[in-house]
Amino acid sequence: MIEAAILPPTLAWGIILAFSALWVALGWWLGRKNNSMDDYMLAGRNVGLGLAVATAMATWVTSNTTMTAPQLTYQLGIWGMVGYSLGAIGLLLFAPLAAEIRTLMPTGHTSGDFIRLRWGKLSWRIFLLISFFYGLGWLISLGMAGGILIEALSGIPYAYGMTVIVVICTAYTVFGGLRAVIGTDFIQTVLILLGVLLLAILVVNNIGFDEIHQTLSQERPELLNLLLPASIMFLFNNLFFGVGEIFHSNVWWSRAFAFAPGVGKRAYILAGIFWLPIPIVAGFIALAAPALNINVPSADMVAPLVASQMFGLFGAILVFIIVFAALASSLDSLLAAMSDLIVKDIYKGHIHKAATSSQMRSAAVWVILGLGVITWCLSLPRLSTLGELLYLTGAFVASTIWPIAIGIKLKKGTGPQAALAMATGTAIGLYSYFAIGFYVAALVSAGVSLIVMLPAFFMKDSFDPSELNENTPEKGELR
Amino acid sequence: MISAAGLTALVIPAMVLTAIAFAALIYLIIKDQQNGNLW
Repeated sequence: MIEAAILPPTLAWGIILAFSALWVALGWWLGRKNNSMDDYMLAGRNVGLGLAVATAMATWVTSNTTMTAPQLTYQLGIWGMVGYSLGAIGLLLFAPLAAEIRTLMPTGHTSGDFIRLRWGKLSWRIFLLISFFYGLGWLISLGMAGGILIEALSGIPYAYGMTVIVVICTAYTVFGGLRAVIGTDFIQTVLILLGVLLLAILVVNNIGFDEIHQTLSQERPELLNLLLPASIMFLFNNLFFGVGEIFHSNVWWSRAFAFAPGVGKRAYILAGIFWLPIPIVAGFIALAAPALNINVPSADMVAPLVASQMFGLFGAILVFIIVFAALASSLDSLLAAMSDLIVKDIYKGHIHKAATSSQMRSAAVWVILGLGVITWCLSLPRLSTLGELLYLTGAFVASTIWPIAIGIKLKKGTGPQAALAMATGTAIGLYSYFAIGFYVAALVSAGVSLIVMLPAFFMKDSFDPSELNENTPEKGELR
Repeated sequence: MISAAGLTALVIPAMVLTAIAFAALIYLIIKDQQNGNLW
């Protein structure tokens, strides 16, 4: 990989240090406003629409969006980028749920709170296992992607690049909590949008659609083919995987709690609409490779190669900044959201039930540091099997879609039913992953979970939504 | 197979929407800041 590096290491270190200093300083500055646990964990529960849209977008733009979308386009053609952009549907579908979550649970902290109050302790524990497995898979994939991409782009050794990205994100998340995460997310979103747009404009101006299309027709006609039945299955699986990720992960729930009243629904709708074009624009850049006569040694390097071939050092710097911002904006969000889940649902929920707000605030700092260390340790060996852990989690997260959607929208269903739906959905989804392939795991998991939850639609109402509000006096603080 | 016009019709609106997203984010932040609704 190193021989394909497109940016001098000294320049790459300069960019890394400059942005790292900016993120950490901003995290520290924003963290000064944190007085309570709600400030630290949920940015004061009053985040405005502008920052809300930016943080939802930035978190969903991972290194995958900026690097895998071009890679999929180069491998699957038009369907690759259009299919990837369907990831926006998860954000759009979560919008109405986010509004209800904020109203039903004005003092809620985590997705675990909802499952515990709505479906009981057995479902809660199964859900936590699913959530931690997914979170760990995503953390490792981001840590490893950081090391691999920084090495591929600049030649900086894997261990150094991975260490820098994990240490920086952990540092500013510890300093400023969710407020720091959201503040840096805004700058990272602006950098990503501007960078991707600038690259696409340069490609259109320098080559043009006709030449790109003509070269593709001659050299890679399959990329322009719209009738690829095999990719339809991939698209639907991708869709359910994305919806499962967003519906269950505390990354998205913590934002639903953190956004000011009335902001959540609009923020997620706008974020979904604004996120939609990014994989298409990023993917389009890859389609220019044949017209530029670029030799692409591995498909995941296609976007950086096009950028550096066309725009020299400027293009290389642009791609490096986009990737660095995309990685950081997701890693910080995941560290903060997983820390909330561990502090609220494990520490207070299972270990120290009488924990006060200040004890939880102290615990959150140590948990974020611990997660940073775990991510670093598991990413360091660069095991490809660990890097693929995230693909496996599709079977886990898709099983939570129906218990969460039915739990929020209806007053029907039982706790054991939800527990069974998540357990059997995950088990049969996992079986299909190994028996058939990665491209059906989420689909099967969501399908099995739906079959188990289906009788709920015909049951009588059995749940009082006011039980979701833990401030209701007779419920106590944590039952 | 998608034509050159089809490719253009897919990518240009996506680029325009990306530009709108950028402008909208800046606008929303300034508006929130002015109204005291940023945080």
